[in-house]
Parts: sequence; structure tokens; C-alpha cells
Amino acid sequence: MSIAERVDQTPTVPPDEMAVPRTSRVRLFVEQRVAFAALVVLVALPLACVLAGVLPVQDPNLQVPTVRLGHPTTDNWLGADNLGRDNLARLLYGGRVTLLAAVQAVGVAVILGVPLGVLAGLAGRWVDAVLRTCMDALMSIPPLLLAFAIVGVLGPGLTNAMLAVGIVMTPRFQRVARSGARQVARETYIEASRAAGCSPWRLLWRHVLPNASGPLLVQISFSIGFAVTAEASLSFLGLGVQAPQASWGSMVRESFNVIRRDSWQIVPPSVAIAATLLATSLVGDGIRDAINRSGGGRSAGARL
Amino acid sequence: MRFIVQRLFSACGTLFLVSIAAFTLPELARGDAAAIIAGDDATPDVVERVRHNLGLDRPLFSRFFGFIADVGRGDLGVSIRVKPGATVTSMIADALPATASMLVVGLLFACLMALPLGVAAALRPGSVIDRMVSVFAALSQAVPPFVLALVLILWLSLGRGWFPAVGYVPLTDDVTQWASHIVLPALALAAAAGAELTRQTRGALVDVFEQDYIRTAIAKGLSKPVVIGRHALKGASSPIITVLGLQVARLIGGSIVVERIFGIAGLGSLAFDAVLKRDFVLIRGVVLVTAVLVIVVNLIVDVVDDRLNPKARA
Repeated sequence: MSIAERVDQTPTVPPDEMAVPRTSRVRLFVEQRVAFAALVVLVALPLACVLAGVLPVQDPNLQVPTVRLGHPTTDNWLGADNLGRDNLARLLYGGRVTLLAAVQAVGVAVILGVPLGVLAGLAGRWVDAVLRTCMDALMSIPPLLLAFAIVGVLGPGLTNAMLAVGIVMTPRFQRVARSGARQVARETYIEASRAAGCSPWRLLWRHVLPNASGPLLVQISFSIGFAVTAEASLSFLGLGVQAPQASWGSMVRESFNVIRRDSWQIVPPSVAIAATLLATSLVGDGIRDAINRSGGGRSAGARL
Repeated sequence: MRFIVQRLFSACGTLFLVSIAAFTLPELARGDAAAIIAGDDATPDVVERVRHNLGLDRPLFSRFFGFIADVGRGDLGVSIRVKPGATVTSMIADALPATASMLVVGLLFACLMALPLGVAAALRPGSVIDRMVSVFAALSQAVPPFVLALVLILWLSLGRGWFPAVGYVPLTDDVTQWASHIVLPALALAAAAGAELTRQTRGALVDVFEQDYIRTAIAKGLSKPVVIGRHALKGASSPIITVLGLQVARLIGGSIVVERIFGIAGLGSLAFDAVLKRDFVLIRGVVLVTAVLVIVVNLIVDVVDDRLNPKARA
């Protein structure tokens, strides 16, 4: 068994899954209250960050010396950092950086991974074997270390860092897209469409990708969690976001620098990161369960 | 036997690709690698000398095969920036014990967490205990290692004074000191892995408990501990040890941040220094060594899995 095969814990969607109407899967997802609540968090948090400019929060770079290392008050809901900047404002503006970076990284992984996966699934044994060995090699380098190494070569900075994280996550999407493509390739209706003169692009768009969409969504959700961790780790070490720009990772870094003087500072960014990770993993689990149930496969059981 | 040979063969293929990747890594650098290595204030003359010393003036293929031959002899080159003149092999050898201690102790913690919790949860799926274990696992997975590291330092080190906040003492110097220095980093590193392992253990055991041979074992009158220990865990071992093997790569990645926080001079710190100072030779060496480590661990996992579950052989 290759490394890639073992990592892939996404369920393969049974072919008769196609018969299940999309709405019922959405309903199955919504019925899982915990997963749905997590989805609400996952939508609300980025929304708050995007709207930070119009929300009644302070200027994230305004330094008020009197509230240095302040704890929560009515003025500073989450306290203020060692330069007297409002933590809530910094959290929201920092969240823009962190979440946008995560989306970029996942985007890179999808753009690289999905075509390679479809290629592996449809192009025959040799291409598949070569791609699998490549993905195995990529996965045998510890993901965060590989991201660091790529940043080391390309130079520090958030864009380079997220490009690196995207490359690191590529095998996940390659796997999912490959199994989706393989499943469809065996179907007789594909042969029929081909015989009817359907172009490969249309086949891909109409049949292959919809078939893999559920597992892809699961993977996207988990990957956003990984990308947030990776951004935070890189920025924590000073290899990601560069000052004066803030991200959740660099906020944890700043709290670490004053850890002996004040322990409150570590709370806001840590809770934001943990909440995002928890939400992504719950949403991922929820989608997976919804697919499993609608597909008529064995129930994965309520996780929570 | 045939299976092992097959796996060995594919591991060699992976290894070859990894070495190509490691070799190419410095080539990806924007601009002239020799100029970057020589430093900003280097004269053109110095840059040329660096280029020659690194063999960068030779053709690509000849350099690649030279690199492979060197690696085969255990020669990973000489550090350029972090510790100029020291061999990468010796630097990695110096750093390895600290990281290995963290990994081994961390994986031990992960198992100590996962097995009891996983078994307890799997015995009654859907029960209060099962739900509590799930919530605990989900929360542990949501906390990145570096956040957990800070919380542990605040709570158990600065707060209670139970463990030192920084540093590492080699095992060979003082066993108790080693243990007290390694507990917090190992815990911070392995909590998420333990949570993942808990979920896998639970899932695998729930599946196994539904099998007929477990029902037979219980019907024979065997006690619960015997059924779980001898039969169920063996049946569930395949996914459990597979996930355990996968955690090694994850922990090595996480060790970079954790080692920086706890001030441990291990492989992670070495990688960090190399990245910060753009010491390409050192980065390449660390990537290669860790990749070999991961490949070997996965190979061992496969062989053990094959021994435990010959039926699953593909």
C-alpha cells in the first residue's frame, strides 16, 4: 500500500450516489446540528474579518500607551497588546491575512491537484503509477518541513509561504480527484457519452467533477484547517507575514514575547485559530457523514 | 516475503524521487545560488570560488550523479552559512537525539492517550463516554502544537514550576533531567497526533466489535479484557499502526516550532536556522534525512502490518 493510499480516508462515493438528489445531501448535512453550527462559525468568522472596516472597531495600528497589555474592558473588548493596540481590531484585521492566505494555499492545491488526479484516473496505468510515486515522494517529506524548505529557497513572505503550503497539500486533492475520475471512467454512460461525441472537457465538467465534489469539499474543509495552522506556524517563526502587518500567527508570536509579563495576550489569537480548526474539522466530518448516509453506505455514526 | 520485496522496491523509487527533489531545491532559488551563498558583500571573485567549490559550474547531470554518490557515502556536503565548514552529516547527527527523544516520548504519550480512550469509547458507541472522548479528541486536534506549547509553559512551568520551560539535557548526561525537559515538548507535539490516533482506534474497534469472531469469543465465555486485548485490538491493529506511522511525518514538521519555543537544539531548530540563513546545503540535508526516516518508518509499519494481518495482503 502506498503512503498516499493510506492517507486518503475520504470515502469513495458509490456510483448509485449519483441518484441521490443534491438537496437531500444538503438536508442531511443541516440535520447534523453540530456540523451546521460549525459551518455558521466558518462563515461568520471570515465575514467579520472582511467587514472589519465597517464594524465599529478601532484602528488596528492605533497605539494607546495607557492601555498597554490591558485586559478586556468596555473599550477594548479583548484587551490591548504591549503597544496598546486593540486586540479585537488586530484579530479581525489579522484574520483577513490568515484566512486569505489559507484560501490561497487551498486554491493552489486544488489547481495543481485536481487536474493531476483526473489525469491519473483517466490516462491509464503508467501515468497513474508515475504520478503516484511522485505524490508518495512529496508526502514522505514532513509537510511543514517541506513548506519551510520551499520558503527557505524562495525567501520569506506570505505569498511564498502559501505557495509552499499549497504544493504540500497537492497530493490530498490528487488522490480525491483520481478516485472520482476512476469511478466515473468505469461507467457505461461515459462510454455512451463518448460515443455520442461528447468532448473530454464536457465529460470532465458534467460527470467527473460532480462525482468527486463531495469528497473534494471534505478535503477542502480539512485543508483550510491545515493551511491556517501552517500560516500561523510560519508567521509565528517570522517566515510568513512581515511586520507591521499582523496575522493570527504573528499575534501568537507577540504574545509569546511578553509571556512572562502577561498571559492574557495569548488567548485571543489562540482561540481564533483553535475555533477555525475545530470548525473546519467538524464541517469536514459533517459533509463526509452526509455523503455516507445519502450514498446508502454504512453509517459512519454520529461523531459528536 | 514477496510483499516485503515489493514494498522495498517502491520505497527505493520514492527515495530516488525525493533525492531528485532535494537536489533541485537549491536550483529553485531566484537568482544565482552561488551569489546568495557567498553573501551580499562578496566580490565576484569570491562568488566564482563558491561556485567552483559547490560544483555549480559543472553540468546539471554530472552534479546530480555526484550528489547521489556523495549521499550514498553519507556525505551530505558542508554547511555554508549556519556553521560554515561543519559537515551537514555531523550537524544532523548532533541534532538527532533531541528530536528523536521528543518523537519517541511523544508517540508514547499519544498511544497512552489513544488506547484507553479509544477502547472506552468503542465499547459503547453513542454513550456519554463515547461523546466525551469525541469532544476531547476534536478539541485536542484543534489546538496547534505551538499554542499548546505556550499554554503548557504558562501553566505547568511558569505557573506551577513542575517542569523547566526551556532547554534539553541529553539522555546520556542525566536521565531525570532528560525526562523533565522532554515531557512538555513531547506533550505539545503529540497531543494532536494522540487525538487522531484515538479517533482511529475507536473507529477500528467499533468495526471489529461487530465481527462474528468477537461474538464467538464472548460466547465462549472469555473475559472482556482478554477479548479486547487478544482479539479485538489485533483485528483493529492495521488502521491503528498505519495512522501511528503517518504521525511521524507530522510530528517532525511540528517539531520545528516546538523546538524553537522550548529552545531545543534538534533537527527542527537546525531546519529553522538553515531556512532563515538560506543555507541550502543544510536544508537539503535535513529534508533528505527526514524523508528517509519517514520512508523507513512507513516501510516498518507495512512489514509489521503484514505480519499481524496476513489476510489483508493485497
